[in-house]
Amino acid sequence: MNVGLIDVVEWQTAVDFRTGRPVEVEHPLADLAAEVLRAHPYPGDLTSAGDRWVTDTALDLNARYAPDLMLLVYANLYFPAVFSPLSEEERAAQIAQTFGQIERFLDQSGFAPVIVGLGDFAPFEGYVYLTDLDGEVISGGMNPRYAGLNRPTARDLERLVGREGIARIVGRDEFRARFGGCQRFYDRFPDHLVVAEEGRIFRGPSSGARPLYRVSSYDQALPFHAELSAAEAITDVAGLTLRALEQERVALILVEGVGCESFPLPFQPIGNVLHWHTYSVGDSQYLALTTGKHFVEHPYPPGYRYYVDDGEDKEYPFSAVFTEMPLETVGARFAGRSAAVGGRGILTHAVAGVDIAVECFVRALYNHGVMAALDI
Amino acid sequence: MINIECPFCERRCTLTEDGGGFCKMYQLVDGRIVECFPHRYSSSVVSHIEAIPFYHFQPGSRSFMLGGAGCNFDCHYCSNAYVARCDPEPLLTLHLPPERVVRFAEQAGCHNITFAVNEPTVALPTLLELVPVAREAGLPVGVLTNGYMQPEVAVQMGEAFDFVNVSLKAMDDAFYREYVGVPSADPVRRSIETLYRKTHLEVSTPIVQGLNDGDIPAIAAFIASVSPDIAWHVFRLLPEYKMADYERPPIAAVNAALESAREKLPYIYFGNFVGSQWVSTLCPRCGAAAVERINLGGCGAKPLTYRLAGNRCAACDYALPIAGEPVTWNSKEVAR
Repeated sequence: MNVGLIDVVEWQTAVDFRTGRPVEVEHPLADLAAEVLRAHPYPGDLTSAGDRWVTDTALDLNARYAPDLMLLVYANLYFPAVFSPLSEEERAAQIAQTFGQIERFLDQSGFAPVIVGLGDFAPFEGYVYLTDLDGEVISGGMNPRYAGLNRPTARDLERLVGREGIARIVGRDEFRARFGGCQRFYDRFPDHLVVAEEGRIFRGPSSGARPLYRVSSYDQALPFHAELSAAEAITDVAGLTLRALEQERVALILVEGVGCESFPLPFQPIGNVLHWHTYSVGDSQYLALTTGKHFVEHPYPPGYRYYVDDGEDKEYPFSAVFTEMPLETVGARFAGRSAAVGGRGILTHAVAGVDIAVECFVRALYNHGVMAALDI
Repeated sequence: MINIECPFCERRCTLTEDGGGFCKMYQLVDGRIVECFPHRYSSSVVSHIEAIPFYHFQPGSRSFMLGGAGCNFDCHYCSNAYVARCDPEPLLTLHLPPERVVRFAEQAGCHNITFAVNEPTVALPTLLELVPVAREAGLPVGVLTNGYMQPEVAVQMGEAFDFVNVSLKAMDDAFYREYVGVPSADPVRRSIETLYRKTHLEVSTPIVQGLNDGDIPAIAAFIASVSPDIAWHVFRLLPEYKMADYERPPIAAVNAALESAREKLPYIYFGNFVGSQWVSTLCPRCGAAAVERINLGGCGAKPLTYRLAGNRCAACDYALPIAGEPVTWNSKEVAR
């Protein structure tokens, strides 16, 4: 990824993806991307039209670029379910609509599908407040079920024991002994990790204002649908996709907001856990899916002080917490043509590692436009 | 029944024991006006001060940004209606007395505290109690406001807050009547004049295509009449709430209008669209980018480099109207 092409409706600009500065680009892929972006303005995260946008854009990109690997992210089952009082009937209708869009893409493009649902929902049961602690609490993100706790006092730890809504409190050493993983992960790991019970999320010093209606459930397994291959765990998906690509064009399709309870196609359950940790929608889950490596092998632990990285010299400023582009993604490891389209900004380009990734540019549900991340 | 005129905003609602005013944030208790939700917030995050946006106050600093609920306006295009125009009670879930806010800001390595997201006039006693505690800790406090406040409140805000950004939405009273729900822009302009005399002031204007884009020259002239040193943030509005289907302003046309305005007012920024190339501070004398910024989405920006010596252009030594020396994002991390 070295160029970002941004379209905010009737205006486009190109940026050096690593520095964020404006750049002049002359390249056929940039011309192609400019036309695709112009033709497909994003309708927004809270409308089911977002999943139609993924299919429309992916079909257009396929027609113009003819990739052998296509990674698609359908995210519009997630946002309305979390941030609006959607009934179960309405949700069922949206699931049918989204899978109709997936079917339309597959019918018209001829890709062999590898489809993974990224998990179901639990009803929102309430907040777990951490605002009374003397130690430093980190609980960022849209619905944080993990919180970091640094330099807690003895009183803090006493207070947390038995607090309603907390599933466990784990020290760094205890976590490392159980999970292992890379040094960079533990360089940022908090002194303690606090885990919420299912249905609960934390309220601390870094908390948003939007009311929630559902939160991700703690799914032990995810639904996996593929005609040619079988997987056992979330970390098998990247390897299976690469092996399938030796035989045919493959679309790796990630669908947020649907799990084993709601997945409408035949599926095989695959493990969505590492020890007691269960994945939910976010960078850890996406990286496990597209790199085949568990979250402890990436430098983004839960509950870390993410904002420290956001200094003046941070590279890849359009990629939020990502300080580098992950190298071992399915797209980066595939030698053929590759593309991605996603209704989940940032994660689509960061975890795909493809030649061209088109994604919505939405931040905190504000729809700014669309962006193509190009490897040229 | 006792009733008292609310002393905070220019709506001057009548408060009774039975009911609150337009913003629903104050009530009458035992003949006294009190806040309904003192020291309660809906959100708190760490932010670049430039993202809020303040471009001319402590550039590069890390701000602990608080949000509340409620507003004294009903802007039809509001981007934050989910906190500004909803029942405040269920939103204000963070109970944070001043000492706790300051502690959080210090733990997060912040250089200052900002109240943004919604209108500070509707939570003024809470914020005025926060200021001395923050000041004691060496943390300046700033606010974003719509400026629709009574004259005494503008003085009070100017004396309390270290930096203020006032949103001047139009010069035309008809715009305020039809799309904001108040009779006139006069109180807002009055607040700008008062606040400029009292504190560090920046001004913002959301451009709603076809409704207030024609006001650009008049707004620029007004701000320049207060002081040509004021930073003016012009936003390409992405309408939401009651105007969600409204078109986005054309960037080239708005920017052309701003180019003319820059002759009177040199520090005009144009943002709220990703990749904007009009968010850096250019030295009016030599044209060098004294502060280089990029827009990552949102009203503000992120700083990349400073070519400043104190508050002077490093290239030509021109004095820029920047309050406080630039700081680096992680400068307080060293002390942790």
